[in-house]
Amino acid sequence: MSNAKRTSCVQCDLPCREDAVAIDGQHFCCSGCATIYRIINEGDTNPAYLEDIQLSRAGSSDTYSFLDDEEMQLQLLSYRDDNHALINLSIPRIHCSSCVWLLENVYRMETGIISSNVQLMRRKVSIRYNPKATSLRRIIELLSSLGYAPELTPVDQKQRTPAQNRTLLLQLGVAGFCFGNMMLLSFPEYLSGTENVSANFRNFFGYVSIFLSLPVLFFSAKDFFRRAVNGLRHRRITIDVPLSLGMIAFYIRSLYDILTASGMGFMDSFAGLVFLLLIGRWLQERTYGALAFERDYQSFFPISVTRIEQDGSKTIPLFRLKPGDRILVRQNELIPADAVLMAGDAKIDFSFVTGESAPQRYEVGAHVYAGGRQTGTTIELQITREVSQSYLTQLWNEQPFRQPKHPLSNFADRVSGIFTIAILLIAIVSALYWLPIDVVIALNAFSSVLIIACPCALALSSPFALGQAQRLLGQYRLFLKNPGVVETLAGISHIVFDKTGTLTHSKETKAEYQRICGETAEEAISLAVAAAKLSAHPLSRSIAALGSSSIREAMSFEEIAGNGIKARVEKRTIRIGSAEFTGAKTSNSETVSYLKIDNQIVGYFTFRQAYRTGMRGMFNLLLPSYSLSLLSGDNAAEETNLRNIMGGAAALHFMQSPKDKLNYIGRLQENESVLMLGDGLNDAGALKQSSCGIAVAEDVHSFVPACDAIMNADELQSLPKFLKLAKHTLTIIKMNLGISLAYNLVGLSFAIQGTLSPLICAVLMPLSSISVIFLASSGVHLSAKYLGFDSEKMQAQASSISEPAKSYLPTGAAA
Amino acid sequence: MSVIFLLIIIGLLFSGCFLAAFFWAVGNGQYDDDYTPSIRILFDDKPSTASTKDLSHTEIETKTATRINIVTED
Repeated sequence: MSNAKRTSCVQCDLPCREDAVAIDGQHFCCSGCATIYRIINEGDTNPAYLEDIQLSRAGSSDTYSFLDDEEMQLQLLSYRDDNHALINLSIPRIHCSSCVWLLENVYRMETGIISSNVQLMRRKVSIRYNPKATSLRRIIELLSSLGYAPELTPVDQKQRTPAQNRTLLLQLGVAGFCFGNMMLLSFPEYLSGTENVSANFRNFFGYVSIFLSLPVLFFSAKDFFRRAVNGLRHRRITIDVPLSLGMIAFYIRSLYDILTASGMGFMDSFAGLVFLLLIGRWLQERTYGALAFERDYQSFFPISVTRIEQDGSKTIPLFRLKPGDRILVRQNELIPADAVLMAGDAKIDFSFVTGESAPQRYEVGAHVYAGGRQTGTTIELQITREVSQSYLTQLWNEQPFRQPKHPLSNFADRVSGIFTIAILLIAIVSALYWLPIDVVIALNAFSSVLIIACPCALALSSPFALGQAQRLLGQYRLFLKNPGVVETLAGISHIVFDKTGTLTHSKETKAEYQRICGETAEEAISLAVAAAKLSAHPLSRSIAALGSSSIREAMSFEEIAGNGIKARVEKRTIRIGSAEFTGAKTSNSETVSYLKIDNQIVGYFTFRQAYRTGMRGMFNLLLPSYSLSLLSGDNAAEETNLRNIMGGAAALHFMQSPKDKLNYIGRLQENESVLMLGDGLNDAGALKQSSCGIAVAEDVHSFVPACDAIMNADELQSLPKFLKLAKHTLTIIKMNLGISLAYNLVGLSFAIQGTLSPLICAVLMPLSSISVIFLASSGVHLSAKYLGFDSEKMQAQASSISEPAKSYLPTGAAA
Repeated sequence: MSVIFLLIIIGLLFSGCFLAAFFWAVGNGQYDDDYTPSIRILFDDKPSTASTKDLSHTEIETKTATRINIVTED
């Protein structure tokens, strides 16, 4: 069975995952590819085929009947009037160009749909339809039947609006336009050598420069001034303060020079400065649009529940659920609110919510908490508390969730405080020196110092170095919310780990066989593997992993949901499953699967948590430089194992509630900078409270709590390497500070003498900026190579993981 | 040589038109997604029967674009 899963799509050659589409024995990675393949094969160049598609709609099922609810629609739709409605849907399944093609052709499959537009990198589709001709429910059912079930969440995630990104682009465009033209207008002055440019021309060029500089000052540069003023109001000096100071000095001095015809002014350098700084700002806003870093519990809970009413059961939106309602929760569904168990076989997995690794059994009449996942068959619950009042969601009332995490002041901001004061001192001193000699030269010197000391280079080294690091880490599937997180990672002194789902696999376990009687262990395992191979259940997969060389084949196979599997192997009946299923007598409450061969129970499988690969090596590398802690919601059964790999100095705490974890980190933070790694809702508080929170996920597109970075679980072992890269990046930024100071000194030597000419300025500033940019980017790149990051290997791997390779590169965020 | 006054003014006006075109392109959403259009160029043209629904494409676009701006500037 594991071999079949590695096939490649017949149409596009990307590897097929578990949810591949299979038609007539051929495998496709998605229904987009399947449809295109059939169109091409049937020689049909005019795809009226799409109109003829008889899709087996989930018509009889009422999974999506909650979408008929008016208020639900209002929450989901972006726009609605009598004739048009627009819905933006997130569909994680979108991954290839065939998906784009199919989804942009849905207007031919459903008459009410007007058009649709896919954003591949963000995995979003935007569908425009006529609410009179079709309904939201029918559209979603159509998508679902095509294999593109959308992820429905009513809560808007706090991303940058498209309007904000567009403004930045416009500012960049204006600055570039004006800069280029002003530069050209300055050439006569720079290139004239000993001859002077005729006064007429010089004035003309000057006035045109002033005209072009107005949009730069008032439109492109306005955000720098705004941020500087905001920072000063809060008594913080950010890098925007010396930048704004320099820009104002530029402008006033140049205006004076041009209007009094005493010089060319520095307008072109000014515009060039703004242009480069805006590029830096654009880099700082880069994030991964397809991932969600800001989710809260509402995105975790289902959007709808099945409520039992007098005339049967009905799917309703979650917000309509009230205490006293009775609901049905099926296998693998979440319990949406605190409730009492009324009927059914409840085996609930709370690992995502409390960290306990073993599912709990409940008796009828017991209280069950929201957030657990039912692993048995359908149960009936009576709601006791509103969704927002449940034990779990109370966590979100805690302090850290109320305000946005304020970023630690970054290096550039810290330096700019001292820098501004130093520059002002130098300016004032040189002005005072020249004052008794010549007032004009004094003013000249004063403004020149402010101009040449404008920290353009410093302001650029951070975005470029951090942006490069963010990109590299993204290729290794550690996706940072923004480049600033790199700096936070560089300053970490204490690392806290969650256990269940972070250090251990969230679904996979290690199976161990214990023989009771009958066949030998090898024989029994071999037979069991033959049966277990055919089941997709996580426990079956663990059993199947025990015997990779088994060549036995099962002749028949049956899976009984929630209980076990039954198969015939070489004329013997194999049953693997729970105690009731196999008829074993046990008082054990641990997860155990009994093996029954031909009516005799020959042994059982126990399942231990499987630690991810490389954990021991990872801790060995981390121990010398970091303090380590473990906070687990599970019991202390694994304490010795963990002590073994984490070392004697690590602090291990078990049975931690989400609030305990939050408080622990709060206490640590009085002295240290803390990095938290977790995966579930029980870590949500800790991730928020910590200086940097990384959510570890096996599927980065699935739900993760709000965090600063999302890491693919396979890469956890590379954590030491990631942290080293962050440290090196910060070192490179500091080195660039030295270089930019050197440039500043050269410039200052002209400025204090009052001999700073526009030509010198126009040469020095771009030169310093470009050299800093180059050194920042290549420095980080070389450092990564030295640390063992192999970007070519990662690129190759990326394109083989059914993802567009570009999805590992951050882009400007937009809806 | 004094014709340079006129030339520079005309040059600026002309390039200003390009800047205006840039503004229009950004406002039209062409810079929101720079990857998917590269895939779309490979698709076949849509058959003409399908697009003549209630409103024309551009009318819907401007309507929804304005609405989106209002919604997201909250």
